Amino acid sequence: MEGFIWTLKIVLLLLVVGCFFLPNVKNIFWREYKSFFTSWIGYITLFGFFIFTAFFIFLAWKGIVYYGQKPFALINITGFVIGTIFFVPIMTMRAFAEEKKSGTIELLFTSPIKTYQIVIGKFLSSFALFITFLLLSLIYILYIFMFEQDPGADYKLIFSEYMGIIYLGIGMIALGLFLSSITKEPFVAALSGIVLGFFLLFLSQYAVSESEGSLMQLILSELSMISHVQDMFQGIIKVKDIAFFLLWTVLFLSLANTAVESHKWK
Amino acid sequence: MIRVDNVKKVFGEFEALKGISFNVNDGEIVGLLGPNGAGKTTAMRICTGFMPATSGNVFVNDYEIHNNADPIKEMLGYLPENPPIYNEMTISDYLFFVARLKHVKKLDQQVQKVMKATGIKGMDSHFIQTLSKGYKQRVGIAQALINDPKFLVLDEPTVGLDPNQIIEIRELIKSLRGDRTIILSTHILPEVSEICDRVVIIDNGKIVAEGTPDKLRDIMAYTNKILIQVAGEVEKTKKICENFKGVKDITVQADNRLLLSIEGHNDIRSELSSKIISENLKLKEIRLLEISLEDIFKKLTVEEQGGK
Repeated sequence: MEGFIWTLKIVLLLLVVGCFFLPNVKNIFWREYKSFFTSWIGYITLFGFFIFTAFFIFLAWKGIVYYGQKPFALINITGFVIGTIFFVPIMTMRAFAEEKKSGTIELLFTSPIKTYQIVIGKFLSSFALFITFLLLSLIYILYIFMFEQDPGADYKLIFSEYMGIIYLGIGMIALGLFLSSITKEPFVAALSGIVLGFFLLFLSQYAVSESEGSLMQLILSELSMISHVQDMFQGIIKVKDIAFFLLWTVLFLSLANTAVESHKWK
Repeated sequence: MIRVDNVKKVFGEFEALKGISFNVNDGEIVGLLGPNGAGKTTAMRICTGFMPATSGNVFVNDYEIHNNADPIKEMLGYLPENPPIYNEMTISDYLFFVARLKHVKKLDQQVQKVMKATGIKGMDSHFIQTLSKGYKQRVGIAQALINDPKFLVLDEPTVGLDPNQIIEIRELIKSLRGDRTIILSTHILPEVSEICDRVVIIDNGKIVAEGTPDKLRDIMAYTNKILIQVAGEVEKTKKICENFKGVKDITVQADNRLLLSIEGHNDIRSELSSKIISENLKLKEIRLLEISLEDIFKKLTVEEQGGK
């Protein structure tokens, strides 16, 4: 619960600083956010994520597929993890690739705005979109609480799980923005993001199969984003996991900034 | 004033600009002319601060553009070759976005002003993706004007438009003449003589000529030609012309026409027509064939290539 509130504080701070103290960031933020809802890709991603996660929850709810340690996990994490890995790269694919492809990057580069402000604006808008996805999924919670006598999970666990998904989403957004910054083809950015996301997922699975406490297991699990959200899903917050996501995000946003900046030299 | 001072740009092994220098005075429209791949777009991108030069500098009002990018960009309007538009936005949303990007103060007023100036007034809620190429170009020009720029850089503003749209856009650019300093690139030569005060011809990354369109014609005037048409007896007319002072060369064309190359700046039409009539020949037409900018351009760029 505390971790969740902590996460919310960070996010709100980013949004407040970004939107109210940096007008350029606010401008980019709103353009990106609104544009998502005026393109078909926005609705496909939004409803895709909604239906995809709903399907996994339905399977678990009806006992068709059994997931997790609880007899019935209210939020089906597998669905959310796969949904995040699959749909976030689609959500971020156009961020820079489309700007380069259509030439609108020339407008940004000849306006009084810094590259890092563009990157932060796009990051915050993608994050806000992701939160919109998750808010939509709250419909499941309300529905199940209304119809299920014993949901099998309390609200604290739900908060922990949502927090884990938010961190995973932040990591995937940073990765997706970086991939979009190094190509002119949105499709290539999306595909490479999905492939890398699933690679990281399998990396954590592979780490489990390695002998307990070995160096290889340690390296593999520390490298994988998924390993760092596993504890969060169980309601355990570790500083090293939060630090991992913080570093991961800063690293990929910095790389995206450099890649976008390098477009000026080509 | 924009001052381009010995600007070089190298991409890997390729030298796109080989040290170009020119000035654009306040209120002047300068045409940057050259074949495709000459270096026009690279020169314009450096002038807008989009990319840095490998060496040399661009000064806007005596401020070096790269060290003073933000204040200069606030005074700058730029239309790239492909208008930088977001197809999924409405015209109004897009122009408001660009206005905020350029730190425009009176947003509503300025958006309405440029929409009126570019002929898209009342189209606020139209999605850009539904517009024709001509209207997209208007939106592109509107965004370039949104901050009421002192410096305007237009890269091929009429490319890909139909003849009516070309006329409209040219009229629009001409209407912007005044206290604005404009650099315009094109490879359509009549556009230059119609719109520009001065021409800078670039080929292969170098400036090969510079001056007013009239001055460039004067430089090349030695190639002036006279066209004569008579009613029959072409050979006799040709003989008369051959013996006439100042005629350098004669070419016989269809329909009893003769094309005469004249030495220097001599206009020999009145003397020559009197001579032809005095020989009882029926002169139908005699006129000076003024050299076009196309001819100058071809000659300059061909000479340049021959000299390499």
